[in-house]
Amino acid sequence: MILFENVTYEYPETTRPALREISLALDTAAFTAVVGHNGSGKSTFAKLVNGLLLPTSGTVTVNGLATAEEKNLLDIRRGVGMVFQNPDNQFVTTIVEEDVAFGPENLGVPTEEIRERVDEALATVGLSDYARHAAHKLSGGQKQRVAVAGMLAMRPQLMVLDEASAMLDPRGRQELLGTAHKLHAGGMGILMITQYMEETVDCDRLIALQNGEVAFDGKPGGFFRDGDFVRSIGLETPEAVYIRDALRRNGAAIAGKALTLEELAEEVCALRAQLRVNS
Amino acid sequence: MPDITLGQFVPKDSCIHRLDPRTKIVGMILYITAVLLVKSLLWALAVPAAFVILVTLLAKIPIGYLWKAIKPLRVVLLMMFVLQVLMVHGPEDTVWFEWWKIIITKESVINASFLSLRLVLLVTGTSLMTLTTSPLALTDGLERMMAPLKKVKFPAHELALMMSIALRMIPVLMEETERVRKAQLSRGADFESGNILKRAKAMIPILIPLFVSAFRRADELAMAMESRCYHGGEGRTKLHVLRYAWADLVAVIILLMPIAAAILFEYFFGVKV
Repeated sequence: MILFENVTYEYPETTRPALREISLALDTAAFTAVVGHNGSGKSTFAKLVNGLLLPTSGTVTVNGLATAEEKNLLDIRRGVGMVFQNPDNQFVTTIVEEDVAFGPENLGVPTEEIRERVDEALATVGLSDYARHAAHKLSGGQKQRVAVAGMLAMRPQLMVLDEASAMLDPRGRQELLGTAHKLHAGGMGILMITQYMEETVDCDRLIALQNGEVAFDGKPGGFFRDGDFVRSIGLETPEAVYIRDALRRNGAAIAGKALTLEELAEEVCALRAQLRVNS
Repeated sequence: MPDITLGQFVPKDSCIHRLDPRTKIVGMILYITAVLLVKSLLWALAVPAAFVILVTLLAKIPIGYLWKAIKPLRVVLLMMFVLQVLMVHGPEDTVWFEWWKIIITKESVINASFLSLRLVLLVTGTSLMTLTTSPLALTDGLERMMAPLKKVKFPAHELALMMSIALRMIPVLMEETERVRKAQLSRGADFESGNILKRAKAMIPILIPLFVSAFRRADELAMAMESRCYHGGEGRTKLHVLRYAWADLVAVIILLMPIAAAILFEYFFGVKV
């Protein structure tokens, strides 16, 4: 459990706090998405979770350990792995497997076990064949999966994706999202910071930030029920929601529930079948 | 895109790649000594040259990589050779060619060949080291070799890590340079015309964005390292533990041969040609 209590964070030399009086509890086993437009404080939020940033006021605790205590940081970061936006800026070494080993090496894991963990982590992200490759020659999506493997090798409880898909092409984004869902199915908690609404529709909980405050906290279905609200905080609805709402505005009798194109297609088909029966 | 071979590792599965990095470091030092020791007999340089080619073949590295290592130096090499031939003469030299102020002597040609060949051998030989050793293994080796110095508070681990990060950033920064250059070109920047001073000035719009982004990268990398529990060299374990194998002993003996050969050549047959 991660607890935010009255957390305010202000970057040095700015007047407006990036986050204002945030209080919430995050379930470390859930798939949580944090969204918000640029400058809403979502990246700051992610960096507060594992103590990369310390709150200006208020407290953040991870499994009862306060991030403000320096001696807790190693234990916190062991449990909360983080993947960042730019894949090129998070590799410490040149070779894939050596980079994946960096985390466990820091933790002082015995050599044979590091080997095991590295192989296992690379297998999980589907890059076993690339273990001895040069990391900078991989594609963007592959690089981010290496970064995920590097974090997995530390065996954390929760994985934080800090806009990890922002610099990827659609295919790379798909690869990364698929990996995240696979890990979640395997029991790992995911905290995903993203600007792509399509990525959030399958998550357990969605938190929308605006100007450093929580604008919405609940199921993604609830968030996307009201497209005008989503747009009012500077975000776009997923394509399917946009089409769904347009259809409803024009009198189509479909429920305001579909979030993906597949769900929408099913509803439209059901509606058509019904119309056929009626006529 | 400019391609600098130095500091670029070519992962292959070969006996050279598997050698202990410390063996390779010692080997390189021996090799450099051998190249520099040969002074009087030009043909003796064939020994280190053969050695370089042999190691390249053994390491399964395409010979083209050696050329890539020399390529950026070709102008310097040519100028050095020409200047040496034309300018440096001894009083007892055998004159081969004389016209107006141009004098070419046998000794100047030999000396110039020595100089250029030595440079070529040094560059190719040392780049072989980085081509066959992953930066991490290399810095690991250096760290272990410097370990005794830790007792006098010498930051061996930090130095090794800094080197490994610097090496790993080379390709990234090269790409970045090219990107910034193209971006500035598309905005009408001119890097080609004008004298040296003007061209140097034209580099400023490339260097400043490059520096800014390098600092940002450094900042992000530091954060990524911190979130992966990096906390200095204390208590760290390794994926690859350096272990001396029989192959390493054999390699050291083989490496000792060219240097021994060079010394033999020098002192037994070292008469002026």
